[in-house]
Amino acid sequence: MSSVLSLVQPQDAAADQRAARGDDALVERARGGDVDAFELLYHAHSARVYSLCLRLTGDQSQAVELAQDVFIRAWQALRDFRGDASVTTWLHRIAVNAMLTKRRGDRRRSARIALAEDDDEDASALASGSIAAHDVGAAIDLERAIALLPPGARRAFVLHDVEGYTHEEIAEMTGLASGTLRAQLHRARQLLMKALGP
Amino acid sequence: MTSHTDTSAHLSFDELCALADAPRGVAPSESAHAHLAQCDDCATQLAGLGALRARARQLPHEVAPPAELWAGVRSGIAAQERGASASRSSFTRWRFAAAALVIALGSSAVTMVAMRAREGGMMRSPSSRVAGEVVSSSASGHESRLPARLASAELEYGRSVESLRRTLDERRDSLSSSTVETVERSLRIADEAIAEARAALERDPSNGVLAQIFTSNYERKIDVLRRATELAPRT
Repeated sequence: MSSVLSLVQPQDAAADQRAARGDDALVERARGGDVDAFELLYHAHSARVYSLCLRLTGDQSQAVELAQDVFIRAWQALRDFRGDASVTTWLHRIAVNAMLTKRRGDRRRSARIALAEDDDEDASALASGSIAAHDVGAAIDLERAIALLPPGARRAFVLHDVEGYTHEEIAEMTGLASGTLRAQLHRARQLLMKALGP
Repeated sequence: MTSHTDTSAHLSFDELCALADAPRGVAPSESAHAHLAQCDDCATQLAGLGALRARARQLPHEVAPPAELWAGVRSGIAAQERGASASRSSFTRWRFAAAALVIALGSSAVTMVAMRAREGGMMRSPSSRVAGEVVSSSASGHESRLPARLASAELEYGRSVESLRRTLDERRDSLSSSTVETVERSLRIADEAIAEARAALERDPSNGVLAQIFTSNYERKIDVLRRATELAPRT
């Protein structure tokens, strides 16, 4: 995952506004069935969507599958986009929903009974300290550690601490109670702090 | 969390997280502040939480996706559009069936016109009669007197029909009964049109128009079968 990381250039507010106006025009064209306009939207937002997908799944091939699903769902849902959120936030919301839908489907298929929203899969590797600090850089260590978090904790951490969404926004995206989200976030932080060390 | 001081006075991890998440300028409560001032463990934990949050915020928010991702999206959209067409399928399926029916009926009518025109001397065969081009059996096993090239073509058509028919039979359960019924009716009509053209050709083997009708009827039958198998997904 780390090999494809590339840092973002910060944008100023005016650039954000210009981008939003451009997005609105592209959304309008895409709503009319213009796939070329949708491709431009894709190119404008795919890196942000893909980075979220990578962190939500912790796996490159699943991230590709999820990101593809996100844009296909977005094409379907263009008429529902009202512009009250940015296109990125809208796409992130679709990503979170797609992820949740997939997870629920996986659970049904594996006939597992989910007593809690989260589970302990993968947590053992992280809790056992297998993500010791390396000399490859702190950011990469953190990425690797995030990838090993249990899915619910990972989602809460990525959306809150990495992407900067508030608890209320995440609750709206996921349909989960904010108490559950807080618990998942705190668990993620505990596991990460233990794994990454001081 | 371990402590070398009064354990009960430690801040819980939830409380520490709440402090770490508090907006700038919001001071901890007096008791929390007092505890943090004298408890290294809790102060260290809080500092660690702050550092973790800072590192998380510094992670890149853009990661270039693989180049082939757009192609996947594009084909997904195309499949979706096809799916939307499929949801209008009763129209499409009936139109396909109706088209097959019309084609077969049309072919039959054209056969009759061609025969009458031939009888009346209105149409001349573009191909000349080829001596000795008579065979004794058709693809359907019936005795026939067709020019050899047509008999050979009929054998090829017969093999294709047989193969498609077998595929269709295997997938028949995935088609609605009304679609199966329509397909079968279209195939019966196509068979009748083929038989009619063959009979006409046997009477007039050098008639090129009849030969064209004969082969096009087979091709249309194969087209009906092929399209029916495409309607029936693999099970």
